[in-house]
Amino acid sequence: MKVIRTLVRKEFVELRILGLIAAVVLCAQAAFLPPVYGHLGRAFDGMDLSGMPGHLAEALRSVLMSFRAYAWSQWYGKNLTQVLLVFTVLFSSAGLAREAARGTGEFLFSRPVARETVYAVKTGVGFGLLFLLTVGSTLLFIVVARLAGHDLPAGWFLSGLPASLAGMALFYALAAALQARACEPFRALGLSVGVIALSGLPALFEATRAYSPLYRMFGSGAAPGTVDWWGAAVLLAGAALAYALGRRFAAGREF
Amino acid sequence: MKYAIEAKGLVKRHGSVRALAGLDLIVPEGSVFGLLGPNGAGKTTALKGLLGLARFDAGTVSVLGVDAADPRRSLELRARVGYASSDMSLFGFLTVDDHIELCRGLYPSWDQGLVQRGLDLFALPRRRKAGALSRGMRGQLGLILALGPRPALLMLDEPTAGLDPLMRRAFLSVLLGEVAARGGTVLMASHQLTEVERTCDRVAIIHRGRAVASGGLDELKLTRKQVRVVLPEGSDINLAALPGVVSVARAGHGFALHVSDGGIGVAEALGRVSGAIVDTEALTLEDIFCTEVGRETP
Repeated sequence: MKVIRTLVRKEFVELRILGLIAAVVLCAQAAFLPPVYGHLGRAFDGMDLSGMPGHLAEALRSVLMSFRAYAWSQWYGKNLTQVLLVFTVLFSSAGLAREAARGTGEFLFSRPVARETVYAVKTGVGFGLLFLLTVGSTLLFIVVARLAGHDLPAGWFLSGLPASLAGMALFYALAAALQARACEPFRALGLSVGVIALSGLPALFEATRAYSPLYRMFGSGAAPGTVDWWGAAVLLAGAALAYALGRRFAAGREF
Repeated sequence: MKYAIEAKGLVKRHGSVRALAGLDLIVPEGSVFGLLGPNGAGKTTALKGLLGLARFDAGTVSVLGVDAADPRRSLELRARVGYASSDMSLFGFLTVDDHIELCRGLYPSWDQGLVQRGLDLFALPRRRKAGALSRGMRGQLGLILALGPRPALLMLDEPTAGLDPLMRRAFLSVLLGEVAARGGTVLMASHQLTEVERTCDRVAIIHRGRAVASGGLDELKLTRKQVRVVLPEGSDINLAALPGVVSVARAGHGFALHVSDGGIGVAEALGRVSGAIVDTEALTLEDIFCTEVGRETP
């Protein structure tokens, strides 16, 4: 336990600046999105939708005139997920490839500590920080929405979190595995971005949309206010596989 | 005699390059052992493999009685080995104290009193981040961290690179004082031949991934000698074929022979040649090193 505590502390120190930036970005979004809705609603009220097909105008009206639909689509379907994807890649870049590239891997692994332990701690601390920031900023969103006088039940809104967090787990595990395998951190970072982009390809087609991890992570796998249990379960299973693969890469890595 | 390291036929490839090509290495317990070799000879690869940072492609290796090639016993081994390298980076965002805390948490046998003495001796700024330390200070911190767990075996890769001569001496005196007091073993890879000559009792010279000479330093100096020979006019003796001769070079009117038997073979063979002048000289470690790796000193 002493070894784990020591490594966790080191990872926290390493990620503190990035964690602070992520906290500021997520909290700023959570604090500003609910009040912005009032301005959007007023702008929409005066908008001429006569040139738009009736069903589209109705759909748009229903999204914008309902704060719940606005909150769901803006938070899970846009802001939170985009920020999470960016920080998932950035957090995971503090992985084994960086330790190897800057020479600290030699320092670390010449001590009595297993590569698998370091890999687990690195992945756990980075994911844990993002997990806490995600949950915290989502709760902040609910609090700010209520302070602004909107009706947003906590249970209803939090039901988007499982798919979002499971998607983050999958992409974090994939990015960490690439960091454990690659000889150079920027190459791993580029590969991670590529993997995320590829995972969004099925979402471009109606028939395959439901199989896209990104689509599920964006909260589109289930109706707003319901938990996408299947999506979350599959994403978590993918994350577990990616983690196991990364652990194997880490164990066989030379420094 | 017990051995801290027994390695036989170590091979390590980096792609198509053979960094180690059958290295044999025997390091007796309690010795201060110098690992010498030109750039790219395989010294760093050997140390990293012994420590489990890299895996050998072939060969057998036992370090402190533990099979170093067995990943399951790697932690047990690393808990008893201290390692410092001039290339090894510290964490730039951690302070001196943070590094000590980090290592303290990783070793079961951490000696904080010893570390404190090292900090006092080198007067390291404990709250300064490693990224802001000079190269010399980073080397000193690396040595303190390597000594902290009171290792049975201390492996050092170019430990004094970048240090001025005064600091180098202070560094080595701390090192030898601490390790010798406990009967520990030191394996030191270095380019600083005078430093190795002053501190080590045994050496191995490696070249192209193989040990080309090894043994006690005194024994090497006793056997590796230079013999100056002037032959009588018209003599057609093939000096390179004489017993013990490693290399032959022209030197003024005669020849400079490097021998591996203390000059006994040459003296006996040329003792029967009338008019031949034979003069045996001692070699420095640098002379021996240059001869063994196939390069002549100017």
